[in-house]
Amino acid sequence: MSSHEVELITRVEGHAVYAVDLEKGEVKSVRFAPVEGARLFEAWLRQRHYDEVYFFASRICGFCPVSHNLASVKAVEAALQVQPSEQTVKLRKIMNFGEHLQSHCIHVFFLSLPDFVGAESAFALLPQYGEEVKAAVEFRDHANYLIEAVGGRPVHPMATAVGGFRRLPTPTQIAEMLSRARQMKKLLEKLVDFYSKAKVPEFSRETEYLGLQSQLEYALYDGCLASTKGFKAEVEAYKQHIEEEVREYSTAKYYTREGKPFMVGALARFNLNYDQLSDDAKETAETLGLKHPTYNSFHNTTAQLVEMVHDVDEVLKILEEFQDSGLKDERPPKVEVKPGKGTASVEAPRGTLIHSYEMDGNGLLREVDIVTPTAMSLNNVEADMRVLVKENLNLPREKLASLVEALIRAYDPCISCSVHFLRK
Amino acid sequence: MGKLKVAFFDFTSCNGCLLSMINHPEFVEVVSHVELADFRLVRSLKVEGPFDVSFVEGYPGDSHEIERLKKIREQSNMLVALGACACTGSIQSIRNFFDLEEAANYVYKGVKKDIAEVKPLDAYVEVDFYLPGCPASGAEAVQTLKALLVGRKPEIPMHAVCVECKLRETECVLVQGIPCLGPVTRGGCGAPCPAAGYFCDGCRGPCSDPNVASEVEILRKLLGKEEIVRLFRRYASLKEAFKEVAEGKVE
Ligand code: SF4
Ligand code: SF4
Ligand code: SF4
Repeated sequence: MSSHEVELITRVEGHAVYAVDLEKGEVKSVRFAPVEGARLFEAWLRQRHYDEVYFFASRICGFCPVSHNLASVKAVEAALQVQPSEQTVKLRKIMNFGEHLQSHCIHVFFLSLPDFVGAESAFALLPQYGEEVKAAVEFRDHANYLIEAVGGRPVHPMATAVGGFRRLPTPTQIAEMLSRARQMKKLLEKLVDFYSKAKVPEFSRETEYLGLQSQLEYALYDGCLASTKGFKAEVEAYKQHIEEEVREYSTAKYYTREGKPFMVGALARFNLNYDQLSDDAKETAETLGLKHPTYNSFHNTTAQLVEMVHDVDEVLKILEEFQDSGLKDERPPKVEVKPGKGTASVEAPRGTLIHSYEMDGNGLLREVDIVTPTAMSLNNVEADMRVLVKENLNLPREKLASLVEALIRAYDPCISCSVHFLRK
Repeated sequence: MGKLKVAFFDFTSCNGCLLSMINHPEFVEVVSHVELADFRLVRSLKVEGPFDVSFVEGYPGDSHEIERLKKIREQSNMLVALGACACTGSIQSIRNFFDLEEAANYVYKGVKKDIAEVKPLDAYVEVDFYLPGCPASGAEAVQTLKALLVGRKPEIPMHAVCVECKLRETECVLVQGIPCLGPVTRGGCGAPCPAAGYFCDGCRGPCSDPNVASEVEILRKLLGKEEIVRLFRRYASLKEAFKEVAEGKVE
């Protein structure tokens, strides 16, 4: 790799390039920059009505539409001071888990694992690992069903509403979800076994791991901001703690906390909230040799698989309860429109996602700010790249390039989400 | 005869259309019968053109992407627009009603930019077949591939979404006083939105011969003028049939 060599990276959501600039055997600069057309969601969501924006928000990303949908509807609820019912929250959690499960499954087995076994794509895995790939496909289908049964369809759900759901899953759908969640639990044995064949590269660079945290559970749907460095803050106060920065070379928004890069996502959550993982998830971590805490960013993929075990356990709990007691016939509440501000966050598969709105008396948004997980981790990707390249300068160019690509891919970057990016 | 050489490209988009296609249970089986060329989203291998068929998701978001689209067109015997972004600009086209300079400044606070107006693929190149929807229907994408594999001309419906509500026996939401674009929107999706307690918000663009005037008359009883305009500014405001209302010409 030398200066001005820019590669379009494959097997990631959206378009991004990376470059490493070497001079006299030294790493001069590194960059990782999404280059997709700027989508300016924040600008055009203004003047749209609160009861439609959470459907538009899902279109920020086809890989995590549920997270954007939920963060958005929660921000609207915060602005309107609407409190969703307990049942609504549980149903939303099923959608959220469903999304984490499908997204992690695709990333671990179809996008990342090929790197760790030296294959070009999941298609190339088929001849040797047909059975296992089939199990992963089945798992993904079940996860999509969870989103569909609650949200209406897997990509861009439309059953969510402010304070509730437009339509509730039928008893048949609850039973079907439960049966599929049980199958997922079984499939995981095979998948964990499959993944243990992966050779995850050695690497270590400690950073600050940030995510949502809750006293009640391994936080995904709700919580406050927290990090492994002891930082804690209400989500509403994010702007005081997470600094936005525009870099000269990419016109992208990069984020730092106290001037330093930090990481969000599965590995960050694992490092931050390990104690609250389900017993089986902890056991899986042990089986896969994932120690807590771990500073190897490549293990983000492993942490995703550990989370898959945890998420299925949690989904099973909620569904068993629904199966026993049935759903109450709840309708979304009547909403009183008033001016207000609302900020909310959920953990998307790739990490903490924040939507923040200001609304006028007609229910139209006036100010919009969206902070996406991929954007928050960008600085950390670059910091990792710098160390990784430095430690592997002796490798032939092509090998080094694949290693850098594998690192970027392990972060599971979601470029469509990083709406702030512009081409240089 | 050799295998059909098929490529999948993504431009500025959310990747939800390609994902919906990959999610379809028959997709893996169907692609095993084609020569899979470029598919950046899921594989590293690049196969050079020319291509028999190229599926293109998204819209060209900057000058580089416009050039890339033109090159792909040159190399493709057939070009399929996959999804609303590619067919009509989708919800991104809402941005066209803002001053681009102001909108960019709002997000990037004065940083220089290369941003194209939101236009569908056929504003730049010839498109041979359209698969509408936000997201596009995975079933229709797979069905299109299958037709092409056996050398048949692919076909998808042009009738209104209402036809599909009747077929699946969804209680009409419009009758219950909920505004719905189904009467003027192209079906083929199976009308999932009214069935989920929502309404059809028109993601597949206009059906054949939509009676927009009568639709607006019905909506006028339920909504204010501005709300109607907003509804027509969702996915297909650039389409001739929807343009006038989207631009605010409502009595
Ligand atoms: S049409 Fe909709 S689902 Fe498809 S890429 Fe565009 S925004 Fe995403
Ligand atoms: S709900 Fe909408 S799409 Fe369905 S029949 Fe009624 S008007 Fe047509
Ligand atoms: S019902 Fe309407 S909004 Fe829903 S998928 Fe069909 S065309 Fe799109």
